[in-house]
Amino acid sequence: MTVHVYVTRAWSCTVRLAVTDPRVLPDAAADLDALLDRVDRLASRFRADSSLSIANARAGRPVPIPRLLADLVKAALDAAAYTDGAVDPTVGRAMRRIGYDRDIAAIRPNGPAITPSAGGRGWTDVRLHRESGLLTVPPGTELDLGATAKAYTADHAARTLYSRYGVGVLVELGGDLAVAGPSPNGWPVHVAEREGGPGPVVVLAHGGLTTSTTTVRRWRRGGRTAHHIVDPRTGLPVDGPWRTASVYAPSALAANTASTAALVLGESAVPWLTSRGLAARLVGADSTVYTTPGWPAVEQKAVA
Amino acid sequence: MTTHPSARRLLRRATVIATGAVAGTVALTVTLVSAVGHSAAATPSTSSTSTSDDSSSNTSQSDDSSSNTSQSDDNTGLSSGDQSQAPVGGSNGS
Repeated sequence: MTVHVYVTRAWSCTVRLAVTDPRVLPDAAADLDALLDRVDRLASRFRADSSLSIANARAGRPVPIPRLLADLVKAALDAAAYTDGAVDPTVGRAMRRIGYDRDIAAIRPNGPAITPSAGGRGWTDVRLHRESGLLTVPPGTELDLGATAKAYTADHAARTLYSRYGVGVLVELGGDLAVAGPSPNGWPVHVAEREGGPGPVVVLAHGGLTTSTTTVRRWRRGGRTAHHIVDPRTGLPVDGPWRTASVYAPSALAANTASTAALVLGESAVPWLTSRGLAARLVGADSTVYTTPGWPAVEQKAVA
Repeated sequence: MTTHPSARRLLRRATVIATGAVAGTVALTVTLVSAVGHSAAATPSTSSTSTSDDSSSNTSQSDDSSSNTSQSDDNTGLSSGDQSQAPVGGSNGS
């Protein structure tokens, strides 16, 4: 199978679109760019004029939001429910407190120590009424959709482009990957902690594959390393036994929900993933690799 | 205009048939909706919406609480690849 690939950058990450018919690539790429721009204008925490920032600024009051943002918030709340709060969208303030208050490229590399914050289950207090399009962010909290928005968008784009053009589609947004439509031999995908790094090639026939890691998007506060994956219970960057988790699931959203949760859950990640029948590849802090049942047996050795 | 008795009988029969057909269609539609709803519940997936609709509010989607992050136990979509194969995409850490 010959595929035709469009590569660009958005949201501080690599964006890749592959299709099985070259004739649709220009239009499909334009559609993807437009979608990414829309999601950014709606859901970016780093734009004061985004619909999400406006809802955050008006916490405690119902705010009308566009339909796509309602879908993104719904996806985030579903992820929180599925993980019992391990992936919680109300970590916006914690993200700012640990220094992730602007685009990753603009974060100050060093700063004062992080002040721990009280954890909670803020997501249970988010009020979303999709039919009326009203979102109420709980008082004293801010939503951050960073854990699920990319994956949701990858799914959304893959399905929409397949529906629109009738060809096989792969959409990759900074590690969150979704496929849709026909792919006679599947999609060979490189799984790694960072682009170009060591890792196996697996073949994806359908669904989604994501990798979450604490090894990228890092900076320092108070002499300690900080990163972008926050434990909602502590408001601090996760510091568990796993540094990277890759998960395959029926959608990129489901995969990303699980790969993020695995890092937060730490010691209990393996039984949590296994009990849900999720194929996963975990990399420990000491570089050892562990795979759950269902993950292709392409490697068992430690990564470099 | 007068209508011949046999024509009236034909009309009544046609009406009965049409009514039956409509009822059957409704029943079939309900059955199909039920089946689709059952299927969707059994294998949830992410919702898909049009990229062209940026209007605020008034979504026609249901406000149900079913999780679209639920998993199926179908892992057959993933298999080992030829390690020398050029990948099309990458699942890199983010």
